[in-house]
Amino acid sequence: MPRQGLVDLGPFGAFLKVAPYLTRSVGVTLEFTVVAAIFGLAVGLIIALMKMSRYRPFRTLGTLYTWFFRGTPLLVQIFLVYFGLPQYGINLPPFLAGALALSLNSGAYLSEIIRAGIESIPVGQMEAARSMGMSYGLAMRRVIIPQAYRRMLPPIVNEFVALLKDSSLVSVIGAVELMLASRQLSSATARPFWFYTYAAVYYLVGTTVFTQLGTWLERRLKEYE
Amino acid sequence: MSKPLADGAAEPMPGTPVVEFRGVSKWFGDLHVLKNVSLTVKRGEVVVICGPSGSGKSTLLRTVNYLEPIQEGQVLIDGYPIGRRQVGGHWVEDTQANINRMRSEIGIVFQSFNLFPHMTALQNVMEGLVTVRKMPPAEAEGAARQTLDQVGLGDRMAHRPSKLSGGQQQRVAIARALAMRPKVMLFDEPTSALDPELIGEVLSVMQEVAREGYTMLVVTHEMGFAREVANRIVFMDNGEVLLESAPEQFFRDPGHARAREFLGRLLWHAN
Repeated sequence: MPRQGLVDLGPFGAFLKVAPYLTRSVGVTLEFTVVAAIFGLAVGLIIALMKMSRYRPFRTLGTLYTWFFRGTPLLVQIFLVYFGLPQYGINLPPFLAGALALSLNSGAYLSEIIRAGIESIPVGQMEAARSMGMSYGLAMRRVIIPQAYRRMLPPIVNEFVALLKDSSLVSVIGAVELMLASRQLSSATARPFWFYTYAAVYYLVGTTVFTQLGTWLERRLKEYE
Repeated sequence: MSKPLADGAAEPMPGTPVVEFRGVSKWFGDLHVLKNVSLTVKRGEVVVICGPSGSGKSTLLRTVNYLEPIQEGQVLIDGYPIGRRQVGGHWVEDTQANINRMRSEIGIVFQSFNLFPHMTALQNVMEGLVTVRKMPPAEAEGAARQTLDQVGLGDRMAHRPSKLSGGQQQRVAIARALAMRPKVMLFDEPTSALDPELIGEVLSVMQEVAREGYTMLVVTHEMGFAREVANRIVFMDNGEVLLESAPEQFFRDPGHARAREFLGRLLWHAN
């Protein structure tokens, strides 16, 4: 980065100059968010099913999982994965470690959303499905989930917005996403206010797009009811 | 309803038991909700179960398709126990596959309809045929259309449940159960959630189902239906079957104080 040159350009000139670099780092932030969203949903579904299981050991395991991941700071979880696991020979590169920690964390929150969504469907629906001779899995797939996911959508979008913001925490383990890129530019130019403002604007655009997308989807789904 | 509803309706052996309760007992915690109930429903019979609320009639009905597990006794469908069996002196729960298969041959209509709101009337009726019976969709659609026609909803097939009246929803629910050609039709207070002016259309469809020869087990407070359609009336109170009798006799004089009291209250309300 040409340091002195950037400062001379003033806040807007500097922004235009670093925009390609920042945009690339936004790409990494989005990668974190999307990867953690997908794996978080998978983890969340499994944990939710465990928490609704008729077998107590599964329920206990599911409850312990959410208890831990919602009850400890995400930063501690990231450190445990990135700095803690190598002690046992598990060395993950920053991106993998960060994505893993984010997925496990959002999985805990998403499992609660999924469980609440499924439990909001009247028991009569499951009874009617099982009475036809459907297995539990088939009843879930054909009857419960198609109704529940409409109700889950708004809180899931909120969770994705939170995920986008929380991905900034992985900057501390050296994954060059939007936050770390901004920190590098700030210290190189001694103009932290400029670069953290750009970061804020980027995050704001991201969260706004997510929220709008969610609202649009919600409206689309309402039309089918 | 001109066409016959069921293949299963004209069974070769009338009079054989379709549903048999043998010493059925059930507890909810300490509460003894079914007390040693024994009862036989024969092929083609329409049996109405009545009694005060909390007497266990719905619970008894729901043991037939094992929605309610029992702790003692057995419920047999066509001679085969549903849900639990005795193997070498121990009671074991039957496999899910067996339970599911048996359930697919037992139709049930709920008080609150329980139609699938994300599906049209037609899709509701097709669902079990396609996903449980593995019928080709085209064939299932044909069968579903025919069944919906028979309950008088040929012009409502593409409607979602939310666009139908309560009476229409319940008729779709009846069609959904009938389309599976069940061995027995269970009705769990099918008109209790309906506005008074919508009760008639549901009762007349049920009457048609009975005329087709279906074996029916009906929990209801509709004594008019019981008098006209039932072959037998079972009176329950406090988890016990207190008496079984022919409708004429039941309405002339049930011969039991609590049944008399129950009837008196009902008739009082009816007038």
